[in-house]
Amino acid sequence: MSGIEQLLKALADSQANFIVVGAYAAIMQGSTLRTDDLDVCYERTPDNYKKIIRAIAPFRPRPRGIPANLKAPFDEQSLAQGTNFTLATDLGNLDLLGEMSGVGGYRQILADAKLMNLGSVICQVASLDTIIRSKEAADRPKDRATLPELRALRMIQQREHEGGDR
Amino acid sequence: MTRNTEEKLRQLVDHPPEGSAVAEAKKFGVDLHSILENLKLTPAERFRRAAEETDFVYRLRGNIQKANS
Repeated sequence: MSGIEQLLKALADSQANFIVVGAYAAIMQGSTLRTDDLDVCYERTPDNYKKIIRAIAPFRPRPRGIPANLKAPFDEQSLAQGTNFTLATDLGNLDLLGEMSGVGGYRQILADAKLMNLGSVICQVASLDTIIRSKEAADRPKDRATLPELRALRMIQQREHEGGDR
Repeated sequence: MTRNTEEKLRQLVDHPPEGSAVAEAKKFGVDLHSILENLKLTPAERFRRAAEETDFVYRLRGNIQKANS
């Protein structure tokens, strides 16, 4: 099992409330985007902080850019004191997002998220509409570059659901 | 996806309506046929393939770092 799949499975097994967002969410829906980060939006409650930390602690989460041998503990307090985190773990990069520009937090994104079966993991995945809105709002060059494909994918999927007609 | 739907989507990709999102993506250089191929896979297959590629990138980076140290 790949590192990213192990990370996702650990989060799902912990019963934490989270939604896969970003490029991996788009990939699961047919996008050809590529990434090396798993982005998840998490519910900001103390109980959920505990579950997330319990899930990822074995994989030595640390702020990205800090060498693995330096002590930079990432714990429940870290989650409570911040909102969005870019982490490195022994299994791969993990971005924990409490809020996403243009779309809000866990509750807002959950409203039109899809429950997906990924084989070893069943988890919530952000809708294409949400991913597109978040990239439009972030408006960095790397986000803008993904928009033509994501908008085309949305149109193709709409046609697919209509049986290709129109 | 039925063969009929697949054919209609291929038509959409090859001859997108002027000004549509598909036409804009085509102008931008997006490989729309790869999207159609991806849509034939299950979400699990798409995820696993991408996650394996991510692992490969990490291994490659690790090897480059080792070689440079």
